[in-house]
Amino acid sequence: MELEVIKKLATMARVDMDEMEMQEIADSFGPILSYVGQIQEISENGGNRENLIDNVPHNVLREDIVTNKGGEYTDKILGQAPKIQDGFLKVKQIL
Amino acid sequence: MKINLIDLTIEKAHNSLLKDEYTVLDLANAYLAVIKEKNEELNAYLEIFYTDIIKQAEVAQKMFQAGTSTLMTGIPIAIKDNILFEGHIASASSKMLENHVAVYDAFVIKKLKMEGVVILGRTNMDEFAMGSSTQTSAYGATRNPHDMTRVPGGSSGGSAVAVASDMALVSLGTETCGSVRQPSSFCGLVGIKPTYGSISRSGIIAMGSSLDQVGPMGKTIADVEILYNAIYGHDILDSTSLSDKFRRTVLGEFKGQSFKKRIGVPREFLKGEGINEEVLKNFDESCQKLKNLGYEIVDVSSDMMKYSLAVYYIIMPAEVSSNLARYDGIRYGLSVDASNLYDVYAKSKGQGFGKEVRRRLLLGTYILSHGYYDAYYNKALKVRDMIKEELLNIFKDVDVLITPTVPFPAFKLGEKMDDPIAMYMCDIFSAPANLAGIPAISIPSGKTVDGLPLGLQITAPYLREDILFSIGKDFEKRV
Repeated sequence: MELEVIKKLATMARVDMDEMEMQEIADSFGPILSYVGQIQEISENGGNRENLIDNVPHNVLREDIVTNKGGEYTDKILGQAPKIQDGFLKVKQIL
Repeated sequence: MKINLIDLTIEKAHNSLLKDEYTVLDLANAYLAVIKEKNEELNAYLEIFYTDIIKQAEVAQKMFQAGTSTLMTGIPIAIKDNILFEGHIASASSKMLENHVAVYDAFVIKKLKMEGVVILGRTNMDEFAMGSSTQTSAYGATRNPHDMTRVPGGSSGGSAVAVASDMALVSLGTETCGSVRQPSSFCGLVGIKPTYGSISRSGIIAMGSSLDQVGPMGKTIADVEILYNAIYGHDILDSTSLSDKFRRTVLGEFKGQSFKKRIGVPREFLKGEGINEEVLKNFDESCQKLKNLGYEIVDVSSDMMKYSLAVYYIIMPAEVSSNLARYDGIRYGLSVDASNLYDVYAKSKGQGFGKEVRRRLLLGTYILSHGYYDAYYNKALKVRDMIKEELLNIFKDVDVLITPTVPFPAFKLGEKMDDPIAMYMCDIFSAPANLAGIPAISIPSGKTVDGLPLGLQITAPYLREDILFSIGKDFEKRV
């Protein structure tokens, strides 16, 4: 795979990495994609989703109501945040 | 008194604790002594919860005094580093979460606390559970106690080694594809990947959410069964969690029915995968043992199982790239300062994640990108359904399927690290169960000439863990 493609992927995935590693990843993608690509040869028959999903829960929803007291977990959760201010997460200015 | 940890089981420990032959703290201390002696070399535990052990032991001891103890009360257990235990670091063996303190208990921890277990510490793993050898951990590799130059398997390698070297009586690992069964096989243990939805993943650091499941590990089938029984059940916080009513309905259909004692071997699937000769010989011996025990062994044909690993290596990275997007340096975990917001994200991810995690993030991003989504991800979803359907059909004829757990025994430290495909092959026999959501167990089936443990994998239909335990117990007596 082209190094340029890997660079784009790294930007989309928001992962900063050096060019040497990107080249390594580019080299490893060939064998991986050719291995997983073997599924292209399968003609699709069967595998009817409707037959399969009746035995598992799907699209499980709950009522859209507040289940905890306001601020109940705020301190605990914000305690893990790198930067906070007045009970909010603090991020770099974006405008 | 000196407690013999080598042959200790949950039931034996429970009886001794009931009879007051030793206290819960004595038992925990016996394991701590072994940890002190062996952990530095093996690197199974990343942290021992010293201050909590005494508190937990007191709670358990009181349960014995009050007559409210269960089989799990006072049992020393190790947990994988991706399971949240409130107030303790859960790092997923990543620099990203090096200082991340769990703000709540995982469902399985809540359950175990009610039983009064003693959680000894958190165990090493492949970073974010991505690996099959516990070598991608940011905190160094774990060694196999059967041969220190070899890997213990992974990603739950630390949890396997903790039990295999008497540093815990039982342990919890997690699976996305083989991460409990494969290290169990490499370390001579029993390990189960239960039915998808059986055990809540609330409080488990997610990898591939359509595949992830918690799995107990232990020295005997009975120990694994007891631990499994203590942690399964419905949980509103995991929307894939099976309701108790649903479980009763499915199992009700089988109630009182004895199974056919008919076991399938997917022979063509085995032939294609370059199995090590000793593994194949051992597998044939296992088949013979099962025949001697009165089981009928038949070949079953499978067109789809051979595609399982390819499907897995599309679905998993896609889910990984989505799940790991949350580690952005803003809310928790590593945050690297930079001049703008994008660079905070990119530098935090770049420095927080290790190499294999970064590779899979990019692979998932590629697979989900415009132009490739249909060819890879959507196609994989369809093939996944076909695999599931094929397995359901096979189970109309046989009770369970058997294969070796892994095509080869534990390999050398450093091996396969430069060849991702070779490493991914560890999971070739594991993938069908994770994709189909059905339960599978690895049980010790003997050793190679060099003394390396081997495992037999048994796979059962949806929610039929009971068959796995039943056949496993039969088989266990004969090994």
